[in-house]
Parts: sequence; C-alpha cells; structure tokens
Amino acid sequence: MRREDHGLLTGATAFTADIAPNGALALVFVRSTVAHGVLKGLELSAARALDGVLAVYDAADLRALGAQPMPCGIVTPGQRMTALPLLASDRVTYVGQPLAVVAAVDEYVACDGAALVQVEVEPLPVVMGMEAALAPDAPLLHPEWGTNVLAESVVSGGVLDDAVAAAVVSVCSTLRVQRQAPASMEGRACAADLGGDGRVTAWVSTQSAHQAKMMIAAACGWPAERLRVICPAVGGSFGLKEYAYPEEAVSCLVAADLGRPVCWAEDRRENLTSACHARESVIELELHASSDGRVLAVEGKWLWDVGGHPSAHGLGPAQWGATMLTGPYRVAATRIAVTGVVTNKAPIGGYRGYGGPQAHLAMERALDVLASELGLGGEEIRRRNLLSADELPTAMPTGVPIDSGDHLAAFEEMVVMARAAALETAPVFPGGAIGVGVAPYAMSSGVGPSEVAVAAGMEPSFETVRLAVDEDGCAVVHVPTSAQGQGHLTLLADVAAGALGWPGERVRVIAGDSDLTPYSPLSAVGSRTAVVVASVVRRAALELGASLERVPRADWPGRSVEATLDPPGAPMTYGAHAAVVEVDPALGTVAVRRYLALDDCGPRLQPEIVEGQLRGGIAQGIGSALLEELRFDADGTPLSGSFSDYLLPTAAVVPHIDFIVRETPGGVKGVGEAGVFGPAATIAQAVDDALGRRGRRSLELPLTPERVLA
Amino acid sequence: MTVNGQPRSATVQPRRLLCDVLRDDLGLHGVRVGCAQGPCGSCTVQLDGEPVRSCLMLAAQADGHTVRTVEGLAGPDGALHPLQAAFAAEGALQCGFCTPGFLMLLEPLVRSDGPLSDAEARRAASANLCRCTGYEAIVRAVLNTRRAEG
Repeated sequence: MRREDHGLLTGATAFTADIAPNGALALVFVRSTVAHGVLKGLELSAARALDGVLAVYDAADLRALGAQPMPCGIVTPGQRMTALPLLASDRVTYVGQPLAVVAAVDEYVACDGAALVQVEVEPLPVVMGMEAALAPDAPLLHPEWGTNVLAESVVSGGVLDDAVAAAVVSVCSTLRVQRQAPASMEGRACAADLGGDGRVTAWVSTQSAHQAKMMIAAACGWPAERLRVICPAVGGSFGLKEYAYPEEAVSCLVAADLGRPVCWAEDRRENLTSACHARESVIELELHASSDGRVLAVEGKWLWDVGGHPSAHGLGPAQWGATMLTGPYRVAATRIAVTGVVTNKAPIGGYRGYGGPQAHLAMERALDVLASELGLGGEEIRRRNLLSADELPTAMPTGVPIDSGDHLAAFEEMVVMARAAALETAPVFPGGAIGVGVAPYAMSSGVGPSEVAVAAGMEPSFETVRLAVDEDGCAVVHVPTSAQGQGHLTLLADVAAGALGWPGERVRVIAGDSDLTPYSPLSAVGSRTAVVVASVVRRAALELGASLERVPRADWPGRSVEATLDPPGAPMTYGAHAAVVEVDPALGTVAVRRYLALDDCGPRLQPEIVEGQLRGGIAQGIGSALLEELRFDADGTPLSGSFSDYLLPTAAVVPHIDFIVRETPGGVKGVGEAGVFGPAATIAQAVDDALGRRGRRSLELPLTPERVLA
Repeated sequence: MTVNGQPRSATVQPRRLLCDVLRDDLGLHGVRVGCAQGPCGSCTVQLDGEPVRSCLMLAAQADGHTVRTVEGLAGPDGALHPLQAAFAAEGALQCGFCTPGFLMLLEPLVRSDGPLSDAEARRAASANLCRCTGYEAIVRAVLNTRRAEG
C-alpha cells in the first residue's frame, strides 16, 4: 500500500475544495458566452444587490486592487503578448473567458449572482481554424498586432542543405491533431485566506507550489513573500495544472480584499471550456531520404492553435515537440518552423508528453509514407533508421542527448510479439478486419540541465531538497515538488529510508508548500521527480546519514542537510508499442483488441508505480487516438462541455495490456509521459493495416467512424 | 435519513443536491464531485444499498432513505473493507479522486453471489471514469475481492 492510499480510500484525504476554512465564501466566475467581440459593458448592480452576495468584481475593480496581468511561463522571442489578463476588459476572444467574479455565502447564491450580471458584447466575426486565421483578410483577434500570429520559432539542427542535397527521395505528409482536454477528475480549485499578519495562504490544485506562488503574487501585484501556496492532494493534472491560472490570482485578491476566506472550485463545464486545452496542431513534414530509405533530413511546419490569447505555456509544447521530433531515428538534420496562431478558442497549454506525442505521430506517419513511396514495409523502414546500442550515446540533430539503450532491439522484439498477438486475435465484428501497428518511441525525461531548459524557454531545472531530523528522531524530507497521483510520497520516503538504512516509518515527506520546502523554479513535470528529485533526495539522505554517524543519537534532532542538483542531462526513455485493432468496415468502429508495451525506463524504483504510469498513459493515448475531441460550432460555442460529449476512455474501451520490461542499467529514466506516445501511432497504423491502406499522406485525429470510413 | 448507519437530519433548500448536502452540511468530503453532470460517477454513494450519482439527486429525494458514503465502508474499528484493501494491493488508485465513487459503485458487486467474469466486472466499472489508472487494476481488485469473499 502506498502512503497516499489509506486517506484516499477512506475519503479522509482533503483536496482543495475540502480545505476551505469555515465561513469561506464561494467564488463563481461570469464568463463570456461570445467567442469574439468588443466588451461594451458589464452591469453588476443587480448581482451586487442580491442577498448573500458580498462582492462582485470586474477587471477595473481588480486593477484598483493592484492587479497586474499574469506573466506567461514560457515566452518565445518576439511573442506579441506575454502576460494574461485576469479578467477581460475590452475584448473577448473565446467562450469561457472570465469577465467578472461573484463572491457569495455559498456556491448556489454565487451562481444566482453570476446569472444577474448583464454582459454587453458587440460580436465580431469569429476565427475558428488556423488556416482561416492566417488568411490575408482574416479578422484580427488582437488588431494591435496586425496579424493573428502570436510568435514564430524555428527549431533546427544539423546542416540541412547538405542533407537535403544528398537525398534522392522526398515525401510529404500532413497530420491534424485535435484539440483535447487533459481532463483530470478533479478540476482546478483554489482556496485563499488572509492571515492576521497580512500574508495570504492559498491552497491550489497545482503541480508546483513555488511556480504558482511566483505567478499569482506577480498578478496580484504583491511581493512574493506575501503569499504562501500549499498543494493539498491534487486529483490529477497531466499538465493541466502546470503554472498558475488567472482565476487563482483573482481568488487571492478577493480573499485579501474582503478579509474572508474564499474557495473557487470550477465545474466540469468550466474545466472543459476555459481551463487550458491541449495538443491542437497541424504538422506538415517533408522527409528527405536516400534511395534505400535512410532518412537524411526532416523539414516541417508546425501550426500551433494558441486559442484566444496565449496560456502560460505560449508556444512551449510545440517547440518542445519539434525539438524531439526525430525521436529514436538516425537523422542528420532537421528544421521545423513553429507558428503559434490565435483563434477564438480557449488558450492552449500542456498535456502529458508536452508536444511530444504529436511530434511522434507526425514522424511515424511520415515514415509510413516514405516506406510506401519506396515499396518497403513499415517495419523495414524503421529497421533501417533506428539507432542501435552501438551507436549510443548520441544526440538528435537538435542536440537532445540519446544516452543509452537499444532502440532497434526493442523494436525488433516488439515486431515479433506483435505479429504473434495479431495471429491470435480473431475478429468479433461481422466482417471485422484485424490490423496491427508497431511503433518505437523515445522520450526525453527529467528536463535538464538548466541551460537546456532555459534555452527551451523554461526556468532553470535544478532541484533542492532538505532533510532534517525531527524531535522524535524521524527524518523529514522537504521537497518542493508535489504529486498529482504519482505516489511521490511513497517513492521519496522509500528512497530516503533506503539511503539512510532506516525503516520507512521513521521517514516523513513534506511536499509542495512554498513556506516549508526549498525553492524550485520548475515543477513536477517531465518525470522530474523520479529522475531529478529522487536522485537529490538519495544524495541528501546519504549525507545526512554520514553526518549522524559522528554525533550521539541524543543530538540528532535538529540536524539537517540541504542538497541541490542541477541534472547533468536528460535520460532518454524509449521502447516500442504495438496495437492489434479490429475495424468494422461497415460501421467504421475501431476496437483495440490487444495492446503491447515494451518500455525501458532504466532501473525501476517502484515497479508498480511505473506500470501504473504506463497503463494510465496508454489509456489516455487510446482516448486521443479514438475518442477525445473538443468541438465547436461555427460561432465558436464549445460543443464539448461535459463528459457526455467529451468522451474519455472507459473500462470497456481500454484493453488488457501486455507489458514487457527492459531495464538498461545505469540511471533512472522517467516514465510519467512514456505511455501516451505509442497509442495514436500504433492504432492509426493498425487501422490502415486492417483496411489495406498503409502510407496515406494525411491523417486526422481522432479516428472516429466517419474518418475511418473516409 | 440514515447516513452511514447514523440518523441524520438537515433542513435544506429544495434545490440543493445530495452531494452538496453530504459534503457541506454533513462534512462527508469523501463524496468527490468530479463533474456534477452525471457521467464521471466520482460522487457515487449508495442509496438503500444501490449505487447512485449523488450529483443527480436532490437532497430532499433522499429523505427517509439510507445513504452510505465511502466514510461508511471501513469497519467500526477502522479496518479497511476488503474492496478498499484490494484497491490498495492492486494499485487501483493513483490520484484517488475517483476512488470513493468506484468503491461505492463496485462494492455491491462484491457482496453478491455467484461467479463474476472479467467482462462483467469491466462492464460494471465502465459506469465511472478514472483518468489515471487505465482501469485494469480496478477490475482486478473487484475480481480478487469477489474470489476471496466467495
């Protein structure tokens, strides 16, 4: 049993919405129902007059409290907007954009108040697609920019001209990846309380107490020391709760202004319509290869659908994905032009894999097109291009290190198993066709070292932990990063206990509290806890153990050690996945009958947690491939505001998964995002295999029956 | 109404949902509200022994009925219910937000007699949503508990 489990199983564990102090006011946001328009006015008086409503704020009211736009976390050079409005003041650019906030005695009354706010918006023509947004006569979402392009960036490496000149065959392919929602089961939430000392404590459902603190304090116009951010139990995130949201800053401003505790917990409609969306991209690739199918260069254009204004992530996911795009393949040069385009949809952010899954799928599809062009099979084209153990360590053309493992051997092993699994699978649908797809993947984990993170527009990637002996002689591990379901308390306590040689019950972990834990500029992203934080916890525990040897036991309490690690590299997790699908050729239905996953994440610190991460990631990947799509009507109104219209995979959809473990000795490789890479590439390939149409130049996700039959 | 074996009474506005009264008036925060629209099932409680979505019921509709939440699942001595123990043993929870709903959804299945197939357990589990686990461990926990109990 994990340390986390007892409280979660009994209901005793408190999530943010359970934490609000007694007498907390409920906050409900008034949001735009118009996708694009000029905000002419907000009539707040009726709401303010409602019994039980304590206050209503619009953008001007917050400015009077000292509010500032919230700075973006990732900013690309030349980015035309680098901070987020807390509430819209003159223009609305998506349905769901917050316009005002109502503080009331409970959520029901707050909703009543919000319904009384009259919003006057003069509608403007909406721009829903990126191609439309880039058209010369497109309406401009931010006229002062003179364009709908937020920013552009070129991700490149190697000598492209030489590689292209050496090529004899070039093939193009297009991938359209749909807008998705990370859709953690707990939505966003924030409780805030003003203390007697003038400081504000905020409990935030977030991936990083420290990052949230810096961003929220900046948006409130406060010195950072005024704010303490605590991460309670967090009900999943998957990138949704990285950085901070304007609503969290508004919650803190209102708590400070009214001197009353407040609690904001979004509902599912808000979550699906106004929390960060993810993934939407159009990726065009051109592969340049030799006559025997060896890829020499990859060129591409990546259009990234930013939404109505940037989220804290800016172009981050697309740039990250473009950097990793060549994956486990031997490629000399690459050049991907990333363009962030604003459209009248909610801001787009990060989701498990952070651009990596789209990049992976684009590359895998491009290879199938190349294979088809050259009359080679999908297996053979990959075999000719995959890196083998004797070529490592090496690096992608963009400089991303590929440290250890055997990409080719993992793929070959999976090919054999996938063929056997396909032969064992009998159709269930009348006339059903079985298909199989196999795809390798490589995923850079851990985010490091700092200079690489900073070059990618992120914060430095060091982590600091503190270990202290308390009055009972227990070791208390203070770590800045917190968990959203990954079992980090269990993992880090085990690592510390193992290094100290102490029983687990003598180790406690305090995580995700900006007052009690050392500063960390990044957060629990990119599998950093296993790769970076666990390493530095082990080092600190060894140091503490050594220092305690020199003093009598009675003097142990109060002794502590602090250790910092800037990760020397970013270990490359890799493997190969396979899907065996059945397609109903009459209905277009796709069922994943078997799924096989071979993953090498180095030595497994907690094998059960590793398998859980992979399994959950694969389930999400299946959702991406087959089900999940945030849809809009032509006016920009979201059509996916509940889990009845935004379909998550259920227990009936996710098949049994066969796991094959590979462990390259050496350092730990991260696994949090590894599961999400394989499903879309393998399922799309398997569907085409079943329908006898491999090598198609365009693909659009998800593979709904309509698209399967098209 | 009777909640977790105790008679409880509250005066509530007609519009208040059962999940909100259980959480806010009775302090039973193990009732997790994941969507308040029905599909996710995280707020599942048992009404007269049967799983119901407490976000799709008005509190007034539970008047006179027996409600059991996840707080009423462990024994009076605090010992975990066999299904709770199996969830932990199988790794059937990660963030744990959906877990009380799954426990209350699937606990009646563990109570009933006769054989239970993997497909039946999977079908039953497909009533609720989990974003972390991929479900297999949840299904395994149900099957193992039923086997041990049967």
